[in-house]
Amino acid sequence: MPPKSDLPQGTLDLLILKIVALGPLHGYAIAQRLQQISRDVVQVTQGTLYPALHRLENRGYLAADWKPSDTGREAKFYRLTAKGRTQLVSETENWHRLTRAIGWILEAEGGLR
Amino acid sequence: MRWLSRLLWRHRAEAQLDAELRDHLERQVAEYVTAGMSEPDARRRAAIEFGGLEQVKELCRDARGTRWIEILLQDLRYGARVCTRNPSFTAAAVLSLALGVGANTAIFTLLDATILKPLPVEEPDRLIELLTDRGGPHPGNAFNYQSLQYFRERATTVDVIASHQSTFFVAQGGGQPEIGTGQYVTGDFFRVLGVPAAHGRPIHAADDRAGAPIVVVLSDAYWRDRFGGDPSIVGGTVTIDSQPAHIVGVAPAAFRGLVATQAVDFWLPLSAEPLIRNPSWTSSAGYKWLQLVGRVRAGHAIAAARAEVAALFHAAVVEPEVAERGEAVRPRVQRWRAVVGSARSGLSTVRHEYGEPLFILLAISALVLLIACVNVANLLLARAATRRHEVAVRLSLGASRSRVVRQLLTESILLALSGAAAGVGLAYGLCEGLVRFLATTQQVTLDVRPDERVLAFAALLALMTGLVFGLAPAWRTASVRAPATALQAGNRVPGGRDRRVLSRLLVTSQVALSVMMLMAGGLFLRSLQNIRAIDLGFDSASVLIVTTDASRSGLDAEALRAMYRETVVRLSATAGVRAASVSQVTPIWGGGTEFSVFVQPTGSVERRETRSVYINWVSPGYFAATGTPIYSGRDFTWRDTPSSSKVAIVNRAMARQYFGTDRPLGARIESRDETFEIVAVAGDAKYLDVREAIQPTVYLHWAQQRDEHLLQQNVRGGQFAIRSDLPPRSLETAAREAMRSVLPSMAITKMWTLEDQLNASIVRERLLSLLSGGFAVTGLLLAAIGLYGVMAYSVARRTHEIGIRMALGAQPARIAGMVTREALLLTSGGIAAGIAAAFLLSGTLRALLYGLTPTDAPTALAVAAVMMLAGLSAAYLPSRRATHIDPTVALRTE
Repeated sequence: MPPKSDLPQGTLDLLILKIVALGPLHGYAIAQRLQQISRDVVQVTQGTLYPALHRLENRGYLAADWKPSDTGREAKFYRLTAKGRTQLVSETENWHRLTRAIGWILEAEGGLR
Repeated sequence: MRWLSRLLWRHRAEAQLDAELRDHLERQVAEYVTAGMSEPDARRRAAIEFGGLEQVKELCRDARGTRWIEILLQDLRYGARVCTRNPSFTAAAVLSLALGVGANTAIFTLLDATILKPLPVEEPDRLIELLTDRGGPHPGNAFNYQSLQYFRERATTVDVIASHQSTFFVAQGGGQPEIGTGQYVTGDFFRVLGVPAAHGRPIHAADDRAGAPIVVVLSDAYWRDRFGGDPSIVGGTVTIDSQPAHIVGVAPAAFRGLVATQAVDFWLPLSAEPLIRNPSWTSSAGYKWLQLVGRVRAGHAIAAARAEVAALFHAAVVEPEVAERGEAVRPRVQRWRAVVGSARSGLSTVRHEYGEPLFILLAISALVLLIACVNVANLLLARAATRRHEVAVRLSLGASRSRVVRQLLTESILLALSGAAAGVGLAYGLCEGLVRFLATTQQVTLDVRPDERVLAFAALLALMTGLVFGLAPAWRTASVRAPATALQAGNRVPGGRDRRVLSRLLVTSQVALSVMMLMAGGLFLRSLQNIRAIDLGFDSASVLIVTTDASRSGLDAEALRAMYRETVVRLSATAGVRAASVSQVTPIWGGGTEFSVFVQPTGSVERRETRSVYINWVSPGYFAATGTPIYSGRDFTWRDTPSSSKVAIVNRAMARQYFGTDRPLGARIESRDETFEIVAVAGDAKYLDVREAIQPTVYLHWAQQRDEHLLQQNVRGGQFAIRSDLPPRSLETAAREAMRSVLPSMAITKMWTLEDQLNASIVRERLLSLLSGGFAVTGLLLAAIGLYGVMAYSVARRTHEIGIRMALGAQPARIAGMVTREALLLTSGGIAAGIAAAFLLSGTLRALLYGLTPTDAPTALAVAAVMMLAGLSAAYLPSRRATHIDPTVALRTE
């Protein structure tokens, strides 16, 4: 198993928004998708995932509908709202800007060593 | 409003949360089963991976943002359950707090209604009041018309307006006239104050001109009461003192005049005064009757307005006074100074009368609240000990300490709010009673319904007290070592050493606070006793005082003289009446006249000295009616007439000080161009105030007043004094009939007893001793209950120890002594601290005490004795219980 990494602060919200942007999903599927996409590096416990989902719903970035699912039971499907989409765009930009900046710093440091 | 709807749909949200998380679990289980696990294994593994379902739920609830409200509701529900489970604890706590909050709220309500609340006018902060410092305890607030005119013409930084309150006969459409309270105001009164009319228009400057028809603006209350709140009344006419007046408007409901305690029925322009009052005061240079208020003009600083008023004062007030009363008064009048006060909350008269006592009472009632808080804190501490187990269990189960403290504080605040709610109800009743009590002086119409200011005050008190008395016990409870205490047997009563120290400290401070209040109450009570014991020089029992107004009679001086004589004669002849008289003032009425006279001691021709004396114009029978003895000489008779030689009676102080003898009969007193011969010496009777030293006083014959003086006197109203063998109030009807039969147009403006008059003059002392005494008793009771609680708890905690002692042969008396000694130790510590604190703070009371100093030793001793007794009583039951402990039972409980 590859080593597990902690997610930097705030990035879980960004990842959830990104995943849900592809189409409405329930919590379990979001957890699976997170794991798949990150090739098992990022593992999120339920104790982190669900509070994050509820927080995003509370802020209006996500909306939820109860719909019949493959199990026959109704499941809670999250989808991205317009507000969430805007947030996703700006957060993605922020992320890129930040990682680029961190990259520069790390390269500069390496030169000095 | 998402959080609100979610809060309302809490149950559904909870169900959905549960379903969502279970769905996740089921899917995981299904996946493991698909991967080949057995169902139980899959379930176990999924559950382990998921972590605690309840913990995840808790985190989700946190994330929803309605957490604090949910916690609050949960805490409140739990708190209410705890409170109802211990009804006696809750009752004791709520009652203590209700007394504390009630006392504070009642006094605050009075203070707010009389003094603090700003006038409902535009920018009340820019209103100033013009006053004159004449060297007395309070500055005077009356000016004559000439002073008003001078200020209005010269002042550039301030608009000066004037008002004057008087009683009138008001009749509607030919109906019976009835007495109403009206105010003469300058034409710009409403404009300068910024008070619009609720209906019609206010009084305008054009209404306040000589020759203008009389207009009247009604107050909202009067309009509703007498005109049924009918807006079409505007444009109609009422008759005021036989003069038709046009109703032009109705004032807004909030505006009741410039004095909070006196409601005004209507307002008239000042120019109506000469048409109504005869002789008019507008044209009289000597009489001061107008209350002046100014609004600082826009663009000017209030300080500039003050400076300007002070600069104009000499020319506006001092010079006219000297011109009117002669150069002899100049040295005295020269010392008068302008005082400019804030009129933000109206005229200062009420502030002078009640301000200081109310602030002191507020401080004392704050002590009641403190004692109540300490009581509740002690109760909570005792309960905290029994709740250690519960709290320990909750801490062990993962509750955070702050969460537990929050829960306990919520309970305290719940208690405090319940206490405050009960206290506001209590305060309302107390206020009504107090207003009735104050109303003995005058018609006090004070609005003391608890408004939002008062409710906010009570709520703030409740929150503060909840925090004050709740914090320490809550912290202490939450600081238990969780699992250790949780595992101990739950039903033992533990009690750490520091808890005992804390609760003893609390109860000692309670005793100290109570002692301070007892000191204040005792001092005020003794001060009142001292005042009551003053030799008044008159006999206040069984005298009816009737104040009259015959100014509408239209009689000339000759006819008035005959009318007053006839009335006195007829009253004297009424069955049960021993003596009757009419006079300018009756003793302790609160007003009078000071006059400069020349005295010529007997046998001396050349010595003529100017003296300032009190003057009273009295009819024959005055001394018998008021119960003032005549030591030598004769009383006035009706045979003394304006044409016979002028007579005077002086009091003994005057005789001794100015004539050097007890019998200066035949000596002369001169005033301006009149000479009076002394025909008798009367006893020294108090004149203006009970507390003042006896001043030289001259009594002159009512019937010998000069014509214009009698007419003036008549306008101010004569005061009849009627002494009888019957209860004075029973003579009211007879007095009314006697007066009506002589002069039907004579109005009776007030009817009460000389005893009432006396009580009214010391209303401040009575109010202070009554309330501070009541508060002190309340505080004493609360402290005794607190002491009892601590002692009872101490005995309960030591049951085991006492059982062993008894088993080893200790005598019951020894056990009782042990408990009593502990109580006495706590009490005497509190007494020492309380008396020390009372002595330290005593300076503030000095000015309000009569005949004793604030560090009065007898009072302190009595207070200590009372408190000691209360401490012993509080210890009695617990010590009895201690002696009745059965060793076998006590040891078995272990």
